[in-house]
Amino acid sequence: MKKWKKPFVSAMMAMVLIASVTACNGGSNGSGADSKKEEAGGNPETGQKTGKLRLLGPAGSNKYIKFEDREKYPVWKEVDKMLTDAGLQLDYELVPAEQYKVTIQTRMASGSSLPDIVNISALDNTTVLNLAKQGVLLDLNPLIEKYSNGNIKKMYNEEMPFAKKSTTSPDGNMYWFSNLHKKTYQGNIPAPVSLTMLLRKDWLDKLNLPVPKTAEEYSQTLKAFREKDANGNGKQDEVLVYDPSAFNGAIAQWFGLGTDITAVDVENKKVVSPWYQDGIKDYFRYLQQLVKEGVLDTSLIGATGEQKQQKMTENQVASLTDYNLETYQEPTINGGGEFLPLMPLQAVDNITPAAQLEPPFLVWQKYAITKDCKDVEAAIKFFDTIYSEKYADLLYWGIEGQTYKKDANGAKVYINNVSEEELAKMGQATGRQLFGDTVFPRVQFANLEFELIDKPQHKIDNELNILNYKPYFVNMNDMYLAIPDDQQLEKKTKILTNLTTYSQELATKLALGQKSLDNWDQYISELKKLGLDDLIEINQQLLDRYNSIQ
Amino acid sequence: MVRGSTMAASVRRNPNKIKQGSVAVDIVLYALALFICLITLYPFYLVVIMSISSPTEVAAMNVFWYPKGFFLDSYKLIVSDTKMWWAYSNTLIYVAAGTLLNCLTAVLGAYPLTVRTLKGRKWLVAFLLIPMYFGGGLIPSYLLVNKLGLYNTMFAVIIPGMVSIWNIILVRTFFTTIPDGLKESAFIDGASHLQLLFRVILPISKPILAVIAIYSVVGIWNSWFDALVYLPNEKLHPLQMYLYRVVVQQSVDLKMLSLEDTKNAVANMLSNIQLKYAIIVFTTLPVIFTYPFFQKYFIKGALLGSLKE
Repeated sequence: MKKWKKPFVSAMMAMVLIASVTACNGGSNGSGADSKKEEAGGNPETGQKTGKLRLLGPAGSNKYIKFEDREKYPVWKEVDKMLTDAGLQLDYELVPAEQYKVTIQTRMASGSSLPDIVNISALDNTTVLNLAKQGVLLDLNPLIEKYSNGNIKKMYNEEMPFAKKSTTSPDGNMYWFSNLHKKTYQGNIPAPVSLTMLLRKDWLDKLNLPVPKTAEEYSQTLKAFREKDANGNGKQDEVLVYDPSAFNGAIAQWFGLGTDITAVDVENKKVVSPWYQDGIKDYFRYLQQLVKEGVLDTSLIGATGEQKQQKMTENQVASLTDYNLETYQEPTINGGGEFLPLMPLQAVDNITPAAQLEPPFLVWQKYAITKDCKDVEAAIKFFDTIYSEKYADLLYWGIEGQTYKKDANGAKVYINNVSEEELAKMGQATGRQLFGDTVFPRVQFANLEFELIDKPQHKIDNELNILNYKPYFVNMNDMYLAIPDDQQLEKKTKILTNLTTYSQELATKLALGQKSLDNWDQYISELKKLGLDDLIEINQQLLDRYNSIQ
Repeated sequence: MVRGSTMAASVRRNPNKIKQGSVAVDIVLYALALFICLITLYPFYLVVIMSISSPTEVAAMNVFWYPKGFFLDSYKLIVSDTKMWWAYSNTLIYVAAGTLLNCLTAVLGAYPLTVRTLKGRKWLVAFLLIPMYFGGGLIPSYLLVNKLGLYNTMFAVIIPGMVSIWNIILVRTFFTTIPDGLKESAFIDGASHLQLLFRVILPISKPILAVIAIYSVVGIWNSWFDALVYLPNEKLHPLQMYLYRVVVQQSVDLKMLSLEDTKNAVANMLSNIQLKYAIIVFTTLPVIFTYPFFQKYFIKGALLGSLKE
């Protein structure tokens, strides 16, 4: 007993000593998880005074291209130079992304020792609006008027006019800046991509089947895949992966249905609900048929990504909803395969099938200035730097000749089509990979040209056909709704809790044939009781306000 | 003695009586015990074989009974990750410091509560019981830690966790079982309270200290929530936080992402599916290895906790 006692005690003591020393180190690091200190003082070249800012945001989750290695990337040197030229001295506190939500929730709730600029995307709308009301977040409009050099306004009013609509609060103020994204084709045509049903092209070729042109043919094709054992493993296990509980699987749109309990019909400026739309009963009849024939895999309803991935890897997925331009599914199939994106298929005689699109204009994430910011002028300068074309270029495209070039028509395309691991070794990342979504908003002028470069022809054809396809619904309905006020938000939250559950259960049971379509009126009256009409009304108000903001 | 001799007598009177039940029942019982053992151990076994199977087989969920394919690259990746070693050394520091402090506060807190001459002793005990059942909540605790200047330092994890009322009560219960005569004789020999505690009581209290130490070690080794809230600096993260991040990172809701972001998220998810298991093995092994050695103390601890008058 005694023999080990002394070494043990001294080892323990040593540990405690180490602990206290290391802990002190952590302390002196201050709040800086990743802080950068520079000599204080002005910028000798421009004669500007230096504005110091503390920024808090999540660290990027890229495994290879990391913000802490930023000095080795030429693109960072350019951005750093822009910031220095603007007379800014920045102190970054980047918290691991997986931890960020908890960190920002506790820190904002405690309201003490806040940074100057903070990424508050992880907070829900209610919390953000409350913080704004309490004065924790500053109204940006007067600050922009007073201090901006015009960059912010130019970006928000001219380049991305949709941005203002999504970020103006009901009180007319603006409390956060956002990531802004615009995708165009041939210079100025807005270029949405679509979410559609993908079908195994190699199986069609193997079994010599034509590409289905109607919903009925589609179902026949899936049946044929099973009966003729398309994957050749001797089992009838070729399935359709489809979640009938929501309406965001692309089959729903073939029947002219919206993409969620309430959906935005962008062209007609109307909020609709699939429950009230004409094709709804036919849609469920169609799903019932797919379930009955064993084509739709019911075990995957509500399954996790991992479970679906399992089917994919085992070469059993005949069809699923995904982006028309995706190329990430095929490499995960054991034995390989190829997916063909389908155009919207005619399902009912008098209904034109709709497409499901991802809008070409996106606004997301929130970056705010807090009440603790001492130098608001510097904070606005920071955002003036961000909302410049030069920054946007560095962020999305990187450096000309190194990460991108211009093709014959002048469209930008990436040069290095290699893995991120390689890019990290070469030091040739774009700004988006290196620092996007941290404390640096993403400003993106994307184009379709580069997306199409390495895609197979059948995917390119689909995309070019879908560009001007109408009618359509969008996958992100909230993108077209203005920020709700307190009452609207409260009412919406209250309605959605129960309505979503009921709607999902109902849709699933109808699809599985566990509930009969004969009792339709009863379901509708239950949906009404749970507030479906109120929800449509509120969202219509929000859509109207969205469209009225100039 | 009396009990023993009567039992011995009864055995002598009827030698068959000690055989309880039939062989069949024994077999059933053993089978049952074996079955329970298997279903308890299987998850561990599954994680281990998943961690060394090839990633495609793991993603396809094909691995059930034995490893399919042989793939050690996940372990290579973990071992070559400096962040993991940081987290490992941090955990060792938290465990060592936390355990030591926990034992110290438990002993120092428990002893006065056993001194009969201490006035208001019952009230003190009752007072201690309150924070055992009611906590301040997350935000007040956060505010306290922040105002004390502990936020984002190692102390934020060590100091708030260094006093455990539960441990104090355990130790107090143990101390009360020590005969008063021992204490009185020490006093007669001229010992002070501190001398009595450290020279007389502690040397015979090793079992209870071992119990507390083990509880602390296991508790601190497995904890991650304090780190999640108080340590935004990943250089201070303990091992379980590292594990938490790997597991959380892969469960991204793909529906919420745009086309470009989806590509990266899918790639990330795939490479993590198998990696997760390797990390679980790596982070759990040390604690699993200590279990057999300390098992007897665990049982003792459970018994000690049963009496809290």
